[in-house]
Amino acid sequence: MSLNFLSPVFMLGLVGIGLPILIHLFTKRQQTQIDFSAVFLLLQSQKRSIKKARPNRLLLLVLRCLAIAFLSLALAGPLFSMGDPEKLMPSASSSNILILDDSLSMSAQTENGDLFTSAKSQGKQWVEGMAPGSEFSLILASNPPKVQSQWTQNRESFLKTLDLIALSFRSTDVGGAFAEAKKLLETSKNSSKNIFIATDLTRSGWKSKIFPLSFDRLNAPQIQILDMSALQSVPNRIRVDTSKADQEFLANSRMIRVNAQLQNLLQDQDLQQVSLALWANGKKRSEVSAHFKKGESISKEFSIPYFEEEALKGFIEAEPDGLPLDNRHYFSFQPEQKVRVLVIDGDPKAAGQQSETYYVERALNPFSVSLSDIEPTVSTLSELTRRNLLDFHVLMLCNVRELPYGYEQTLESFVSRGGSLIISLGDQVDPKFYNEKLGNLLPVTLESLNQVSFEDEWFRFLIKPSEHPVLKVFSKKAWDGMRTIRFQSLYSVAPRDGKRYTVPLKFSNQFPAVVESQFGKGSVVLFTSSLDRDWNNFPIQPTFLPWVQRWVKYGARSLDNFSAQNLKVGDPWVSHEEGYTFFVKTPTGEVRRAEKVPNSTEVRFEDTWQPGIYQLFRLETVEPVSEDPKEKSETVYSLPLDAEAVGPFSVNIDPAETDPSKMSKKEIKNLFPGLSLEVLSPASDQDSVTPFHRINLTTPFLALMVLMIFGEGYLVRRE
Amino acid sequence: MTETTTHFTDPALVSRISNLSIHARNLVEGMLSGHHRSRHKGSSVEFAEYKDYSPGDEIRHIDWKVMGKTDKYHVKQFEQSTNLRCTVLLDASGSMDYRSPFNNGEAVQKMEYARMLTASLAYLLLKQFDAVGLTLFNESLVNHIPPRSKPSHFQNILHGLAEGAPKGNTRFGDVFNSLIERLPSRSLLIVVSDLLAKDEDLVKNLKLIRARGVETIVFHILHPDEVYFPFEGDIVFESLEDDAPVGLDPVDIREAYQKIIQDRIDSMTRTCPSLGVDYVFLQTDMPLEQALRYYLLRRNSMLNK
Repeated sequence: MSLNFLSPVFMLGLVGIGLPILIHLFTKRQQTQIDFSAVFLLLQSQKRSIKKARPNRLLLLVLRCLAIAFLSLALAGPLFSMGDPEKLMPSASSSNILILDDSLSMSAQTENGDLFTSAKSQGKQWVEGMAPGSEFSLILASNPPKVQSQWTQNRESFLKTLDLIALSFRSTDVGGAFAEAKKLLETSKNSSKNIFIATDLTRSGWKSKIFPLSFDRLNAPQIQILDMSALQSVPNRIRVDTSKADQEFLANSRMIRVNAQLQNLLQDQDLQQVSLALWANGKKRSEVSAHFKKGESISKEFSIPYFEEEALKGFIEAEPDGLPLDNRHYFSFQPEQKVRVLVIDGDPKAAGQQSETYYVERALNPFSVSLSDIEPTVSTLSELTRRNLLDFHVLMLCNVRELPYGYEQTLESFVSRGGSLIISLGDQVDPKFYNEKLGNLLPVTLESLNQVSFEDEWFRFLIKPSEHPVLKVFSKKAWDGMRTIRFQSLYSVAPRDGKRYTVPLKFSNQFPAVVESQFGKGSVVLFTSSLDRDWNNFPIQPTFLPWVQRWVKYGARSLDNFSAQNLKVGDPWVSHEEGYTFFVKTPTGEVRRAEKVPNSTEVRFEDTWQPGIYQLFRLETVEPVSEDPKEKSETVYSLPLDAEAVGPFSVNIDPAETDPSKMSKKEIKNLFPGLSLEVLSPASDQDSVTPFHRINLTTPFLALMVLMIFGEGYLVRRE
Repeated sequence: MTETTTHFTDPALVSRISNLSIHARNLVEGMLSGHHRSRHKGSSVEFAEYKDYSPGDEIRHIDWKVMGKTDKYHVKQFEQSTNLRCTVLLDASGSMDYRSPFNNGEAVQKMEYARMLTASLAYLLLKQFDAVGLTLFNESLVNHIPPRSKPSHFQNILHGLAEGAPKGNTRFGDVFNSLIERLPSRSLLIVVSDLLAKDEDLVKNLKLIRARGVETIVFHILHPDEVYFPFEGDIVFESLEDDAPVGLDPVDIREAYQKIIQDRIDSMTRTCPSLGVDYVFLQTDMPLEQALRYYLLRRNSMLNK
């Protein structure tokens, strides 16, 4: 048990006690003694007198002295401890590293605020408790770890630096922080070394190759790990893992479909009536309630009509819990008024009607004016390499013999990033090329061409009720009409090993008519017959137009704007589009320029440290890249007037960061073999309680001082 | 014998006695000149009535002339004009020794004033052939000089007055109890005191005294300081009796104190007449003649009853 003082110099204030004593002595009235006869009457009078006895001057003196004493004691920063005073107030100077977890999970709520504020205050007390002459360093343990303050002996400026640290939205990287600490300790001056880390022990933050960590014998520090997670007052119940917006092209009006994945993080409790809301462009557009079983992950779909031209920016939000930041997931979506289709004619003819794409083009845009929401561009194979696929959503290869050399990779990249590829066959098609070069995209190989003579039975569609999004809208009458379509030629296909595909439509001989497969974010649709009249009479049927349109729109369903990337906090936004300068408007409203990576076509924007919606703008003129890399990232631009809005992208927190699973003491001890390690838990969120079980008596002493002053005032007033 | 020696060897005592004597004489003589000086001169016996002789009566008191006329023995009865037997009961407790710290010329010390009053009364009484005794008291009787009417008795009284140094507490109860038996009935008791006693049974005792037919006069003597309490400053009041010292600022309690004192005086002024006791309040800055005059008036009225 001991009482120590942080600033003993203030104890000099105790000398001030002499002041009231001197005043008392100087102002003391000379007491005279008089022999008097009726002393007992004086006593009676004293009892009767309204003016009671005069104040006890000695009591006043004592109160004044105590007030001064308590003030100087309070200023001296008294710390009361039940434990070893040397541990409480080390007398020898030391090198101390404070590792502060400023990751997102530290925003969890406590009774008096959040974990991060408590961690800062605990760190502050730790620093204050160190012997004079000690040096300090501060490392932030969010990813990437950062040495915020190099060695300094200036405790005040160090504490000021600590005060200014704000919580980040990043994930935890304790391993990286320890690696930095190890480097720092090698340059430290003192033989006594300490590391104090205040963290919530989020498991994902401790996965590092640096562990198990060992130090040189000379540099081995004493490690104190303060487990802040004990202070979390409300558990983190719900997390929104993903949210994704799609455009529903198949409906009559434009609908946006937002799919969210949510998880109940409580492993031992069902959650009932959890309120989920969809916010779009600043308004709450939809609200539902959901039920979760223990630890269950569910997906919820919201559909909202959306007629605006501009990008849809919003988030899915679950009702608040102990860690509100992971209850919100941002999404953005740039609706396209037009589905841009590039139609490659593999068999162009001088007479339009004989061209392979004559019917397709008319089906997609029947009146040659932009009434339809599909905008076809017909091109020949030779022009294909000059086309920028990024400008199109759907690519239709109609009776194309083979692609230019190496073009299949461009095609794969196009599909994997969300483009849709529709292939129709015909007499020009070279099955060998398709089977050899398009192995990644096509889940099937083209086997043989099947043809019927006029006497034979025609191939026809096998009409079956279908739930496929493209086919389910056709009425019975339409199906009856489609049944009459005659196919005389078609390819049979064979599945490739390990490829997954579906067959939404078959021919009457059970041959697949349409083969559909996913590749990356996009889709590939193979029609095993032709889309002109060479192999069938489908193009002159009334159902041809809706059938083609719906497949195109279906292909564009997973259409992401190419600029739209769903990123995690800290992930860079990357573009390979050349010829543009990109500007990004951050959620806080700042405008910054994306940096061009030297010697590469890549453009990057790395300042995505805040979750939210970022908006992209581009300008065709390429501005010269500034030489100084620092200047580039810090310059805040005002948006050029002629910049074109490209669309938004969303940045969200890393869901792993808010996983409730924590490291156990044993696991932590295994990471630091042979080191002196202490895992502490603060008993409460109060400032006065520290891991060292010391009580700061400043406030009680100040309160006592005020009490003394009040008492003194009362006595004087009574006089 | 030893006592007498002591009396006359202490020069201070002697001086005090002679002072007292001279003052008292001057005072009384001055007052009596031209008044009722001859009233009792030469009068010794006065015929009252006749009574039938009965054996045992003194033969010399038989009135032979009446015997000659009536042939019966009548005895002459005389109203004996016995001298008044007066006892002065002087308070010699500590409180009487109050000496004012102020140098105000008018007021004299309380004990001095009381002594002077007593001496004057004694002289006056003796001058009128009355018997005077003196009793000093504090908690109990300190000195008792029985009443005598010889003029030389004045010296004894003076000695008694000079000797007693005030000390101890005032306790009327005990004093009256022991005194009441010594007092002859139909006598005069003069109480000279500051009446500063904690026990409140003075009135009860006065009642008892009055019940025995003792005429009583109370001279209540207080120093002006004790009435007006003019002190100022931070003062510790040490008691002249056995009370604990009190430190206070007199200003705080002055009003309350004055009221208490005035209440006590008023109470006595009210109560004493109802008991048939004469009450005279004297402040030591008042002339003594006033007291003596009052006494003489009183004495006259007693004799005229």
